[in-house]
Amino acid sequence: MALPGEQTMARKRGKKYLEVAKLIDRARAYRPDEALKLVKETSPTRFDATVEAHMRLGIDPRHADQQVRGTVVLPAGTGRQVRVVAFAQGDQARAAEAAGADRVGAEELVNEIQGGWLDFDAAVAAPDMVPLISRTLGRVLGPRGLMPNARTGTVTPDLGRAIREIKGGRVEFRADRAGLLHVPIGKVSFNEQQLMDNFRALVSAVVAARPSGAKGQYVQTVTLASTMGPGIPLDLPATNTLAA
Amino acid sequence: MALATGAGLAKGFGAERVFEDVSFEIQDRDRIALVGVNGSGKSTLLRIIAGLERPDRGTVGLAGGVRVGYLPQEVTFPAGQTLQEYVLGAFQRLLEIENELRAVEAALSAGGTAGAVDALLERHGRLSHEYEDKGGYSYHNRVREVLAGLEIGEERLEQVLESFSGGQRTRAALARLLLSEYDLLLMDEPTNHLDLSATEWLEAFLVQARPAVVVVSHDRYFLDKVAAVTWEMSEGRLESYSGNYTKFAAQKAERLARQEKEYEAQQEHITRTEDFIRRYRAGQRARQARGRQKLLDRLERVSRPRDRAPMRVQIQSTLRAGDTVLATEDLIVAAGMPATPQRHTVAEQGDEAPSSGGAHARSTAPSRLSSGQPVVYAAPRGRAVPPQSVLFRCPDVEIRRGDRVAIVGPNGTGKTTFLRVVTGEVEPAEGRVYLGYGVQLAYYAQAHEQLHPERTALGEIQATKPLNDQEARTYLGQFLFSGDDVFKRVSSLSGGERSRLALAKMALGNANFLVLDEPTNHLDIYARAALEDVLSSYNGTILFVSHDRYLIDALATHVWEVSDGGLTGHAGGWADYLVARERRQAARRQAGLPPRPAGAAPAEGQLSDARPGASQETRRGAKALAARREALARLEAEIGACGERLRILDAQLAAASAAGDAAQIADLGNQHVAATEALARHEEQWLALSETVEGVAVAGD
Repeated sequence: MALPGEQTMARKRGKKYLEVAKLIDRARAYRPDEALKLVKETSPTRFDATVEAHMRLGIDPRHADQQVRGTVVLPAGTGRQVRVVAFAQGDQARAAEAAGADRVGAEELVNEIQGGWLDFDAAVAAPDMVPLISRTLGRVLGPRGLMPNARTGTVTPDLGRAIREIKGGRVEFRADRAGLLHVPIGKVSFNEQQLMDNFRALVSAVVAARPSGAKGQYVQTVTLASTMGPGIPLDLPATNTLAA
Repeated sequence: MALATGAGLAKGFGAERVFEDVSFEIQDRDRIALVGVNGSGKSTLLRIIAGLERPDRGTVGLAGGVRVGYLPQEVTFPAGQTLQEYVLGAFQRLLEIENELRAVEAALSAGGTAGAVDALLERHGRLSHEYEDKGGYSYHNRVREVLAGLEIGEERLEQVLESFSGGQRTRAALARLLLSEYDLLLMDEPTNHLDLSATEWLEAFLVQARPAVVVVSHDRYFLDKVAAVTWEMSEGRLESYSGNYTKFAAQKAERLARQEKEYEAQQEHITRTEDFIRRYRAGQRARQARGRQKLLDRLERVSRPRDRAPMRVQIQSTLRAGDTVLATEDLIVAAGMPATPQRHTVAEQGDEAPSSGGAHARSTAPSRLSSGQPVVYAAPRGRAVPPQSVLFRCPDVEIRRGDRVAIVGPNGTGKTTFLRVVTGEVEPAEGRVYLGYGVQLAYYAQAHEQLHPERTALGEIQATKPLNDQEARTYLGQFLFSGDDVFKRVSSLSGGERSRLALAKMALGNANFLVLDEPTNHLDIYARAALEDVLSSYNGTILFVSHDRYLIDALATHVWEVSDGGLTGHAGGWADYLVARERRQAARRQAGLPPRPAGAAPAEGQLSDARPGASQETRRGAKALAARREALARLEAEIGACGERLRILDAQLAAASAAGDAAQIADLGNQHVAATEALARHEEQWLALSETVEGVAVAGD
């Protein structure tokens, strides 16, 4: 709702959106399997749209003990080609290359990124590289969410595994300032089973990441949508059973 | 969500009660203006909400985890602290995390067992997460953004705060306050010392700001932009009005009028009832009378609405100046110029030949001021002014009788110096200033240097005009000096009182040209409104420097902007000026040039449209005047032609006389008589016309 004096943005929807939106009954909550079927039918785009899960969590992210952040490996992958760079030298560099890292390097890679090269989707680092990248690349990678961090498994001695996981469908989730999560769980072209496997993995990971400080109902709403498509509200009890 | 609530607050100092039973509620994202006369307890209330002072009674409650930021009127800093240290203090936790991260990184570089490295990595991860979450990767940009908005150059970061001027200190304190992520900001006169562009930036910042804001200010334009709710402290009570200052003023007037009506109706009812009781107290209807008496006793009385007595002042001049009040020619205003020795108070009227070679040439007027003997302040010839001390180059400007010209621009651009050059206090660096015929000037200096610190208010008035005590006290009463106030020494008067005294003194001078430097500084919101009325009804010419946009908007017919070493004129008031400025900036954007900061001039010394009249009336007047001037020029040409014809006729007559040609002598003689008559006629017409044009007919002479 707009505050007094604030201007509401005119919401003008496209023809295709309006057409597919009719398929959704906004008044009811869908079971996950119904919703995943419906989300494939309600993609208004011509390209292979991403299927996104949006969750509202009962947390106050202003408090340090109510942060939600973690990673999950989507069993069916994300459907995207992920470009990974690895900060490593010596054996670890070789291991990273073997695991399929798109670029591997140490200081020369740092210099390149400082010079403006940012053509990658994820970055991993060996522990001995942390001092170097933390000092030099914090302000470049930090705001873009690309900074390697032990908490999300992107700073690790086992770079090979991290890179394989990222390429194989590992995604990071993180509650924003309003306590909302937005995570891709695949593409519209995936079959329903693949989407269900990914969604189950996500719900399990989010529930497992429940912070100690969270009070009351943890998962408050879950909505699925395809890129630019209408939202499909999910039935909470049915969704929560996926995490069991 | 209510961030803060106050219930039944009371506060007093000694025997004096400041306020009683004040209650309020501050909601999330509220933007509240707190207004009231000087000394009504606004600052005290802010300090109580901030927890810096304890109320005598009542409580203030803050919602859990709400962080309150407070900006006092006068900011003090720890000794020896640089701007950088002070501003970055807003990010104390981030700085701590940075240090911890560096320590962990050093330990990681040193290596260790796998378990130790894992522990260090886990700690590094946790710290990085917190760092990122608290905006560690973006705070440098935010610092830069806020400093740029408040126009604090990055070169100042290393400087010690003690070396900063009042305005710069306010900005530094504001920068830290705005960077600290508070939920509730309490600001006590934040716009004091800020120039227009910084004030405009602050307005925009506060309107978009996430935290709730309670702001005390006397800048009505600022309050109009920022506030959505107005609280008024009046007679020890707090009243809340919805809307900004303008809406508050309207609602208040309405409320007072309603209350006045209710009061009068009730008084009438009481009088009627008392009359009835008196008449029938002892008679047959005694029972009825007693009943009425009871009713009357129980009646809840409506109190008489008491609004603060406004200043009841009229400034009018009985002297009429010529059409041109002020003009400049090739003027350059510079800092550090010597004082003009013969200080000007009244335009001189006696004939005075131009002094040659003197430092302060007083010359007869240039052609455009030829009607009288105006005053000229000129720079001495051949003086070299160091370029670094030049403040700005003034294009040739002219102020006509009745104009009200506002001068705006950033701090330190030379606005006050310009006024001092105009008033003859200091010399121009180059060029001249002409004060027109019949101009009597009064100068209101920003720091009130014209007041003697050891004199009493009464003494100050009596030193200006010989009035007896009673007359002087009555006069001072109009400026809200009552009782023993008149015996206070100037040195012990508050800023607002001093301003009122300076105004009182100025109003005695019968001046027809007021030169005012920041006249609303120190005045509270009501005195400002009163001053605005006084100046609006003034019949003379006004040149004033002000940052009070409300005053400019109400008063100015022209706005002159001093910036970037030049002066640009705009016809019309503040709103017209803003439109012109926006248009100019849009044009710059279109041309691919970087936008100028607010208050900047388009090009050095260009006077774009200083003179076009503000109103239709002025434009019609200007047209008529131009037509008369054209007629004058035609007459002058004809006078010249007649003179030339007479010279030729004289020569021809001499030749004819020598030749003894009687017929030719008679013919030439007739022609000579006709030419002489034509010349006399033209001269007559020229004199009459020039009188109307140059305003020789001075009213009240």
